[in-house]
Amino acid sequence: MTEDAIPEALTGGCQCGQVRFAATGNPNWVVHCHCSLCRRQTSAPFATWVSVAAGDFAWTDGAPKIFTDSPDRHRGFCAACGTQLVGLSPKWPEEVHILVGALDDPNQVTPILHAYYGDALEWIDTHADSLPRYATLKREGPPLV
Amino acid sequence: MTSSDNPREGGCLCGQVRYRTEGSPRWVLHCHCNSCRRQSGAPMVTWAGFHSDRFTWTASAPQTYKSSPGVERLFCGACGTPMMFRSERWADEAHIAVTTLDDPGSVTPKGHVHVAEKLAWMHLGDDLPQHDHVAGG
Repeated sequence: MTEDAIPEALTGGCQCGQVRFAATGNPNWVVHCHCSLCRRQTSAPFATWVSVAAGDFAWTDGAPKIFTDSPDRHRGFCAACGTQLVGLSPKWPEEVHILVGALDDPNQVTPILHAYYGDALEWIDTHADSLPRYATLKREGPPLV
Repeated sequence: MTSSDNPREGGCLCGQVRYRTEGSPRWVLHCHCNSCRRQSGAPMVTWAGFHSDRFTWTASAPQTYKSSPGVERLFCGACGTPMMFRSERWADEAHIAVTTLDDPGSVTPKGHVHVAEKLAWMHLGDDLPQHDHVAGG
């Protein structure tokens, strides 16, 4: 791969195929989040998000249903099959946060850290992946030891 | 810590779909299969299997999606929260997403299943048994 190689597009969508998306360019970041809202959106112990520039992202088939789970946070999912797809917020209008499980190939991206690990479920331990864990966000303090 | 027999309640984020379970779950496992990952968006989903007789929807019923032959995935139609997995293979069980419990810490996962489909960057450092497919064959 050369330095100016064009990154592969990230494609993905829901289980039933009604809602599909594509994102070009490089993601801003790929992060695990253990906060309660992310856990509840995914019904999982933690969520993994891929942030892409909104200008690089497009719905290629259908459109998600949007549910606002807090004043500044919207979740997008397929109304037909319930697949959770994205997180959107007026706090980060230039970004689309894609849930890694919505990607056709989640192994195309690599997470770099754990956020809101201070909220992690008591039976979750991520030490095996050697990624830094932050009590909240990286910008709010050093990683946990 | 074992999972107690106390009744448990849970539901979706918006509160439209609520449920109640009686007794302790038969099992609590992390699933790494592609289907769970696709529905949820997360790298793995933790499920608790209750006998169907010990499970009741107590508010609105969820929406159902037939994700594969003999399999249904139930979710809240309003907020999309994944709730339950039902399968003809385990016809007398209700598989509940543990994080939909009001107290997810009230159950303890005991293993990982469908590890053959695990994502490359998911490193499992706990001492729990790992099963390439289902537990117990």
